[in-house]
Amino acid sequence: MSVAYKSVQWNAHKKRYDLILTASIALFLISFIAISALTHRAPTAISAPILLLRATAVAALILLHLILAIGPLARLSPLFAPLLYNRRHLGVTMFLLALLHAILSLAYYGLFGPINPFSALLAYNTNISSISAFPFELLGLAALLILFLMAATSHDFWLKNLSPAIWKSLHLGVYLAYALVILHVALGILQSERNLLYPALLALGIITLSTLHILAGRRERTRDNHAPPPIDWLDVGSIDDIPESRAKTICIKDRERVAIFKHEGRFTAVSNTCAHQGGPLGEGKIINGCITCPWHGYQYLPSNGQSPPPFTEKLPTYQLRVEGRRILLNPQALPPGTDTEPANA
Amino acid sequence: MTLFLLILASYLALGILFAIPFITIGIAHIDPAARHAPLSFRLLILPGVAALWPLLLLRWIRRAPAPQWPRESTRSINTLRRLHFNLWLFLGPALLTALILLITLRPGTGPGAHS
Repeated sequence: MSVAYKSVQWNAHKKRYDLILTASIALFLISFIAISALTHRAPTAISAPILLLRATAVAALILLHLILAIGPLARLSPLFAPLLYNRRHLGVTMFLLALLHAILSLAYYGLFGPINPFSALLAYNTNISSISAFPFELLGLAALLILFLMAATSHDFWLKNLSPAIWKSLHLGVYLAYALVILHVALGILQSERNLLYPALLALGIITLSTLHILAGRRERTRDNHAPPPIDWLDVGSIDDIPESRAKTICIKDRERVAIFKHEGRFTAVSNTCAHQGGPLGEGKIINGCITCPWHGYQYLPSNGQSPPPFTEKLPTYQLRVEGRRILLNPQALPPGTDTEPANA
Repeated sequence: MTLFLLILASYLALGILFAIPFITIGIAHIDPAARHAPLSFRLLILPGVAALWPLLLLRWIRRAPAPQWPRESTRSINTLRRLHFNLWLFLGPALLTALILLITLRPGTGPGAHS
């Protein structure tokens, strides 16, 4: 939350997350190299630099799939929300692995030639009409540049100073990078590798990601399509629908979603959109008296939608009233940070 | 191609030249929250500053405050949600088709390829 910037706002969860991530990657790289070395003995033995080059590429590709799967998985089940919390560290790690793969490739294939390796990379191959000899390295380079921009701007400083709209647009570039990476692999290693297991695994990755994103998107679309228009006071359900310290999310046609929280038996409503990265607050819970975003832990006071001091983020709030056991919501949003009287059951 | 590399190298060199005064002095002018930020934070954002320096230079010259998260963000959140859905409806099948075509059409594939 934005008071003074730190390089990383460490907490126990992030440390555990990064420790598991680093250990998993180290284990994967060692296993990949060891298994490849054991299964490719002379005369088809693979040299150590090539093994490392392939290991970093496969690790980065798997991480990219994981990163792209976390978003829809968290939308489909809150069980995956803890993975989303520190996704930016996954992204930066994936970029570093891809960068290492690029540096190793450039060093191994281009460093000892007569031409500058960068010039060689950009100009030596112009066979764009050939499938087997396509300059697939350029696709990888383009993907790497996009991933660099995303990794370099992953800190909250950039979210604030580029504006959320530009930052989100920039980070949507991950889909273009994903497409470039798939083509880089399909036009590169898969042109010479004859084992059909590899394209099959890549296809499985694409199908899994598409299915997850489409399922999550369809669920959201169905909710939006059944949303009532923003007229008068809306009956949004029974007081028994909301467990203590949790929320119910309400869709209103062409309006912001509203999160109705129950805290100490009383009800308050704020915008469902976190002021940080647009996370779904209604899927979070109240911790220490504050609404806590399930994505990155941003917090707001239920009664006025303001982050507790010294933080300055504010959310629009909504008026509520309880009649009998029914909760009624005024769908007109109040200005961000407006005090509201919690509705008593 | 050499010209392209020259332009790219010049852009990045200017970016690095800009980044040093920006992370030490300029950053506090565009974002007060960075005024007392530690060196580790300043170094962390350096690559991004070197890459996106024209945007930050403009902000520094204009002394423009950070843009606010617009309240029509809801609309942009809804738009983003729809965009993700529509994008994957296209991206998944397109990539899968491309992959199948590229594997099927690679030289040495097909009947008699290994004969």
